[in-house]
Amino acid sequence: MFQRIAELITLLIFGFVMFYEFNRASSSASMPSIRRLPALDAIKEGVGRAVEMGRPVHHSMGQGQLTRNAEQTLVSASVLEYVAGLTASLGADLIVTVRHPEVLPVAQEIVRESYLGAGKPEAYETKMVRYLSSTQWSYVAGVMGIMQREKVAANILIGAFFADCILFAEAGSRVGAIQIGGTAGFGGNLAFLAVCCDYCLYGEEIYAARAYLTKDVFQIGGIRAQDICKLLMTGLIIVGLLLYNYSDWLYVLLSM
Amino acid sequence: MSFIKSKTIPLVITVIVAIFMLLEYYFPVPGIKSTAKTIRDWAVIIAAFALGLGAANLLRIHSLNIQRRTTGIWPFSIWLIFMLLLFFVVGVTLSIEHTAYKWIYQNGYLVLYASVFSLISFYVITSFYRAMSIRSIETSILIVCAIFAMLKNTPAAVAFWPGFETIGTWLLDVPNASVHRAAILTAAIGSIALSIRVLMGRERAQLAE
Repeated sequence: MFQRIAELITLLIFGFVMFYEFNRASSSASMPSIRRLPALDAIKEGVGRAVEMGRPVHHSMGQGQLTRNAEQTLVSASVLEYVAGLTASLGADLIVTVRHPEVLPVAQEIVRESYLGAGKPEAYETKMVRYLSSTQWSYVAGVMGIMQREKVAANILIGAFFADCILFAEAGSRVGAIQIGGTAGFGGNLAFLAVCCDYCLYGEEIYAARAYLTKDVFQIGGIRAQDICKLLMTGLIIVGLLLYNYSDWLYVLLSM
Repeated sequence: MSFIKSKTIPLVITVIVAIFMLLEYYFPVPGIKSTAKTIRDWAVIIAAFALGLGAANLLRIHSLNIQRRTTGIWPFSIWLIFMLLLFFVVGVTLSIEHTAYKWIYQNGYLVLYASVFSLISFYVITSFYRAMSIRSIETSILIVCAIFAMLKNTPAAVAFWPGFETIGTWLLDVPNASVHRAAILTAAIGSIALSIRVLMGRERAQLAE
């Protein structure tokens, strides 16, 4: 019970900070800049390379659903919006692979709207967004096959990935694709991506992707709020550590 | 009627559903619990419908491959559609508990599934080989730490010099664990922040916006 109350209080504080920062973002003329994220800058380079080589760009929506690991799937959707906009405007072929069927209409809608937004609705094809399988290793096999057969030039793996990410990344390496990875999962997954990809987004960096790519003031406000929350949490941890280790001294000090 | 065409309705649904899920966790009273359960049931139903959508997408793409005789792909597309229909027909007519269905599942699917899974062991070696090339100070540190972490788990090495275990354990328990915890904490805060943005209707990636 006490844990849930503490969680609720934390959530309310986070919500208040967010709300405050969103309001500040809408009224403030100057917004903080976000530090450079080479992995996101490299997407343009990857799409450009695909155009030069006449080979497709592959974007995986990851292993996340819209119910489990949804936050990472949303990040992947945000990055897809940017990637599809680039492939539409630069004229590269795009392949989006989807594991969970409920993510399929979302990915289709994003790609369709991006092509519409780039003024090239006729370039959009149904086969761009492909549902492969709902099971983990069947999806992996499908993606590896696509990469091998269609010789992708850029491989974008941002979202929820598990042990399978090493297979995606190795398959991409074998066809000489420029690889951009990123996940917030911490098992061996991130280590696999870090080792196999040319560029990698580590943990919380993926949550800054939308703000970084869109430069939207509300999104940047959200990132600032996130940083404030992080500082608050760090402060709480330090206070907790001090109380845990030096509570006796504190008691003596207060009773003097 | 422009609000129907716009994404206002999906956004409102997202926010309402998110609020109910939160309320269920923090205030588990019967009324809220039953509503949240109904919402979860709907999610299962929608996911089941989405599976049909996925199957339709598969059939469409692979039919196109066969129709256009896409080089190097169309024979696999025939095989995929054949297996999809085989599973469907056998499953619907005989049920998924039938011996015939189980035989196809075990001999046509599970073996391939296990094979793909086992590829990890080979790919770990190739990626390790790639990571182990000394390119900078960071990779040099990585290599030294990896050697200690490996030798810590090698009985012969520990028997030769017990220091391998001491240093390897320290590397895993102190620098590795502390960075790991910090990374988990910041990623969790990022996740909470994104969820709050969804709750406030500021995050609209799921609406393709």
